[in-house]
Amino acid sequence: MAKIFTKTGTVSGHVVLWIPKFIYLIIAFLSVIFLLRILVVTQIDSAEAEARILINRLIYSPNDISYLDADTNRNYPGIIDYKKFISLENFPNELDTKTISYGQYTNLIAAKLILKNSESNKEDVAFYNKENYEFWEPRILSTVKGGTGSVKSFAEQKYVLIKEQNKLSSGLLKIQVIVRTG
Amino acid sequence: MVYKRGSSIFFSKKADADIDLWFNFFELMIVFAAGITLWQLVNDESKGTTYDKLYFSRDNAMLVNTLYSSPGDIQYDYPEKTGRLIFDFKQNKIEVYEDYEVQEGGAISYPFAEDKTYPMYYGTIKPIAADKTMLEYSKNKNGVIVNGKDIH
Repeated sequence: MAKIFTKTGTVSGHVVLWIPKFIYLIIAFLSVIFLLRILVVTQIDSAEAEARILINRLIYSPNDISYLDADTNRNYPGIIDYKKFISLENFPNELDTKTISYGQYTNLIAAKLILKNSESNKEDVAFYNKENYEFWEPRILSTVKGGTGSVKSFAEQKYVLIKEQNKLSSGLLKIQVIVRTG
Repeated sequence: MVYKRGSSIFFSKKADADIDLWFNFFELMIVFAAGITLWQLVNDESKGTTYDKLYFSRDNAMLVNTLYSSPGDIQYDYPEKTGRLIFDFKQNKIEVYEDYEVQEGGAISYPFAEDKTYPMYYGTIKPIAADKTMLEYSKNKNGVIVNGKDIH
């Protein structure tokens, strides 16, 4: 150690003394880059907006589950066409392939629709993007390992009228949407 | 010990002061280089359009989804100034990029769900003038149409 204070050891002594300075410089440099990465927003969480838009689309679009008067071409958003709803029980259904088609980007959003007839207590279930819904559904529980964080779930229910042939009956439509976030 | 002439810079009697000077100069150079690099990084981030592209691609994709959910005809002027960004409407996705990024791969896209009962506009909207271009959406029985519009 004493050698660094001799003439021959002067350069190496300087190098040794310079090492901590260099380490501090690297730490300061990395800290600024880290802060920059933290402060600059590059992630946007629009999961809730997307879920609400899908729910509104299912209810208000004339081509999904609401009743469309063929004569006047008028859409009735509060009235569920039971025939259309029942036809959605298969997978893939018309929502997946035609009216809300994400094409190859199917791993973004999925939904489960439960239509309960308040008069007969009959429940019918339909899915949008059933395959992914069933895959993601366990992940909305906080107890599932690797679950929370990768998907978000949003639910909404609306009192509706159910049109079955010429009969109108009251009912409740529950929609649960799962949006993939990760 | 005999030193060659060239090495006397480090081992002469006045070498200590010179070495200190050289090391101080070297330190200053490194700090200066680090400072310039950080300044460049911050400058790039502040001028970057990554967030704009993320925002516009996602916002417009959600807007298309919203248009599809409207029961009737609709006409909507997208209120944000889109600057120099180019919007490419493709099947099931909107791609946003700056002109030079086509080759560099800086485009950011976001998917939307099509309703195949309405034909969807596929095409590119280029800026008419920087900070003066806006997007104009319309949906009717003929489909969903998007146009670039000049803000006067």
